[in-house]
Amino acid sequence: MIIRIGKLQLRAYATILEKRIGICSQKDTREDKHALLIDFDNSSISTIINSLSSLQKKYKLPAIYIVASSKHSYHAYCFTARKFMEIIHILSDIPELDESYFRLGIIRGYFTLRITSRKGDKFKLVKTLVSVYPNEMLPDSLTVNEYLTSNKGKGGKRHAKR
Amino acid sequence: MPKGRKRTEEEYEREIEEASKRIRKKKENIKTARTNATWQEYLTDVLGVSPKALDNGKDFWESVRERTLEFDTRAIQRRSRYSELRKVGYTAKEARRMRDWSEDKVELELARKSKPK
Repeated sequence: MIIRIGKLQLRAYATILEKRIGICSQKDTREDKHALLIDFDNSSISTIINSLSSLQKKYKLPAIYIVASSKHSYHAYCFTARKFMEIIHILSDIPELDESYFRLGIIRGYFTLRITSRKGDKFKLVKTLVSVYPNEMLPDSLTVNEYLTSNKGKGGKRHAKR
Repeated sequence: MPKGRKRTEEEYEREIEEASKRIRKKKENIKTARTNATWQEYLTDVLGVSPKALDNGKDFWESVRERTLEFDTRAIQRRSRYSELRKVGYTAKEARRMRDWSEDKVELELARKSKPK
């Protein structure tokens, strides 16, 4: 809705907010131990697998689960228990990482991945990168965050170009 | 922002800054995932992981053993049978042919061979 009063123009928007649940990288609520949660931005699955395989060897990471969150969008879960600074260091070594996810994670002090599906999209496990190193924490020890958002995800136009 | 227009680099930076201010102001409430049904469902249905099981790297070694065990025993069996047959007096060509035979067939053949003529 647009209201014009002389030279002044007022715009009002209405959006429907949806409740979403995100899993946070932080172990329990007080410890400085974090799991490695990764959000990939517009990358192919083969690039992601290659990138994560070398990362797994380099940083001696336990098994990594790669999940398709929507079309051309992937999440990865690795149940490590490393310090936040080490997690930042590992994440900065991933060229395909979603930049805004990385920046907002640093500001927050933990990284969050959405676990409730958007309309029409379903989470699907694509690949598990097995490892000789055991998981460093129970998947149960993580934390969750419930939030309201109007974010409908990345637009169809961006994907249509591919 | 009007629909259809792309964000400029400056606008993008400003939005990130505003979001970070909001985050800093608002005390976010994070809770343990232990009691969260959505995460428990996600773990079992999507990741196929037990929420309470601490994986001890077993997956990797199990998959290695699965792939190599059968092959290894067969290879060892074939090698040892070959040397056994050679010791008894078979030629290399015969031993190579016989090493893939069943246990019973080899025994019969050995008995036949050892029988005094």
